Amino acid sequence: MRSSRAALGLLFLALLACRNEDAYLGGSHEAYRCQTRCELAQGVPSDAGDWFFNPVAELGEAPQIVYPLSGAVHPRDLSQLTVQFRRGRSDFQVFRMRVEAVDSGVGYDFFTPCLAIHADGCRYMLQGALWNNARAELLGKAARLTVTGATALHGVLKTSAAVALDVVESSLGNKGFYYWTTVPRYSGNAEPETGIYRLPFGADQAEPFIMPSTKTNGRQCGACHSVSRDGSTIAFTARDIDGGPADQRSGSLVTTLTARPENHLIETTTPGTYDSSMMALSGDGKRVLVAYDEQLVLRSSESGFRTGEVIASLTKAELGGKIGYFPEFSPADDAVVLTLSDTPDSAIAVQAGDIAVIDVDLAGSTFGKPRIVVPGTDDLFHFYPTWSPRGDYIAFASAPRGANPDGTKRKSYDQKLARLRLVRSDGTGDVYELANATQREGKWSTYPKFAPFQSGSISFLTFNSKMSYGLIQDNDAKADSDRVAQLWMSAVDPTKLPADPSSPPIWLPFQDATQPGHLGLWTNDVKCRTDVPGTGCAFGQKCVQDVCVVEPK
Amino acid sequence: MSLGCSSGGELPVGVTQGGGVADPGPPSEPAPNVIRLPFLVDDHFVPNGCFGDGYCTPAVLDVDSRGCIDPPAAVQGVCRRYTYTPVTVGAPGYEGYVGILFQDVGPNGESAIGKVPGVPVQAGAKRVTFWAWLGAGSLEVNFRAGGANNWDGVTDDKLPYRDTFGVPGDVMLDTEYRQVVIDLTGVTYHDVVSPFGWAIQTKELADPPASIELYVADVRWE
Repeated sequence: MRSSRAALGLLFLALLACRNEDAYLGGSHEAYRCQTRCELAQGVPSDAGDWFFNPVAELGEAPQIVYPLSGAVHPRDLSQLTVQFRRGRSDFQVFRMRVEAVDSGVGYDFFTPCLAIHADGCRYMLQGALWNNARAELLGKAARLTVTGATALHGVLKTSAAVALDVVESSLGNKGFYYWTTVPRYSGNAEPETGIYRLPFGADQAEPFIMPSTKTNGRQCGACHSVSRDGSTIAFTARDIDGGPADQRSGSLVTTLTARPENHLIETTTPGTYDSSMMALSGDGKRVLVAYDEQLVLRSSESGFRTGEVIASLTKAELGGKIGYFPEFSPADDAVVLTLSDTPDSAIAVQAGDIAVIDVDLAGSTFGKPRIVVPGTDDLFHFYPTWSPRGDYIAFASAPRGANPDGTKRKSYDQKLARLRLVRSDGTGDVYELANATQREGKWSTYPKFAPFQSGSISFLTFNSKMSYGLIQDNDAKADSDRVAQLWMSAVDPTKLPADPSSPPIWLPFQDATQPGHLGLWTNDVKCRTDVPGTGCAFGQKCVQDVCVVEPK
Repeated sequence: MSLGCSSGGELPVGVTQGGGVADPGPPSEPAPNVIRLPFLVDDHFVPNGCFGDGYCTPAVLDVDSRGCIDPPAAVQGVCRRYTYTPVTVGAPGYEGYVGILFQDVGPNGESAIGKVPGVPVQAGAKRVTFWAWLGAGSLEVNFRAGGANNWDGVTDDKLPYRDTFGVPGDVMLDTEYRQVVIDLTGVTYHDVVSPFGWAIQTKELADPPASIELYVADVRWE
């Protein structure tokens, strides 16, 4: 059946081939021959290649690429890229997207109609075999993308400004990614499915994983979560929304092996008991450091060893009179980075904060004294710290202190003015702005998390932001309350310091752009589930040595 | 070597001897609220207009926007799996059919058919195209372009909105991918309430399946 489906697909996606060169012979040009680096999408004429030998129009606007952002770094492991552009002249009928590395002569052409989005926008998703080949050939080369519109076979054309893009090896393929989102269900006024989803990086879609009011989470809500770097264990705060305190000082810690999330290691306590807000799992998942009720508590999440027991704790006094928020274990599990605040906002947010590091000896269950890496000031507060893959840098978010237009104090949660920054983890040197990643203040660019894997000098930083995703999710045209957070990823290369080491971000394409995405976390892999029938992996994946891997298409 | 434009040596209409083109410039733009052609239906509409069995509870019709296992390679739009579990004859809510219409979301969140206003769409659409197949077996599926509060010409005048057209596309599907085309030639419209929909009738089946998986991908107006 698959072969017949493939053949049918070819009927409607006429894969011809292009030489990607103008072939004029004696005043006329040889018909454009689309060969191995060219694709004609549904809805364009078979001679579309010949439309692009025309003179340049003097009247009207050229197309304008809106997404991808110029200078963005694209991991080779991501198999989809939806190009979005303003069409320019309204009578452009066919568009040529050309991705090329000019210096090496590699170029790919994709001919498409304007699939209309927005008032004057168009979209086209690069995917499939040809885009796979293009990414492979463009790897490591300085590439650029242009969009040219043509009015007719013998009409006029105009080309957009070029957008720079880099395709790089990322080592992210099949690494685990967990995040919180919602999925609409449409039928029967059903509520959307809201919870923690997961996927091996490179998969087209995520699968629901920890979902409220199911065997994976018996309570109504479970958003704050941590996943161990080895991918073995997930922890989250299970809460009942109805009747809980407004400041979120409620919730119960749950930990479970990711291979069997319906069978918890630490189960929720009796309703009304508060023992968890935010937490961090150690790299092997055997310890969980829980921040709640103005203390940090180290508990065992190890199967068969004091499971659930409190092993150690740190009081507010031991944290220098401040409260610990947003902890994360270092790659070697020998330190914790966190926010220390003397001005809390709620159980999950602060109005002031420093970035601090505490040395940890997990074998002895002992903690050192907090060391302030980035002190907060009267003007600025810091939150959501995350370790770089080698532990030598810490990325975090900062925002100006003060009041919102409605008079309330600014807080870390859902902070419009949050921006992304970087500092050496030993606290030496300057604090660097990750301005390319942030894409200007006022976009809610926050909750950075490093992928714990490095490719050469490049590491990848995911975060959520309410910046516009091209024209498909045009947040900038919306009122603040209507903006939709999405997950983005920027490449960070500290060898560029003191220049901005971050790249303009890419939108993570496994999302539904109409739905919010938050709290992205990385793991070494995605374990196959053993508590459900089948392979234990989502469709399009197979279980190999207890790990879900994406099947090649 | 000339950089003029010709595919065969003969100057095409509109091209001057000097290589220049008699370009009249771009025509005026359509109004910004008009959806231009072609478009992916999922970029502008959602499958929120359910009708039929069991009041369309999720137990009867599950709409899974992440449920496609291996969609055709060329699709640009969303692929969905619709799982229909027919209500048994005589059981509460039995209608013997179920269907979905894609619509906008009403200004106050409305989704009921007839209560969602239409959206202006550029004139001149020639066809609706999409891919469809079943998870198992074979079955006729009644596809539609238009037809909101006007399915087979049946209209409830008490409802404020309806499509002025409804073009059927009844197709026998099985597990093989099939690209379906609904011809819109000669159809006139301005505001479109539902650009696409489908229905499955089990009423006249001798042995209705316990569950039907319908996959629909890449719905376009062209």
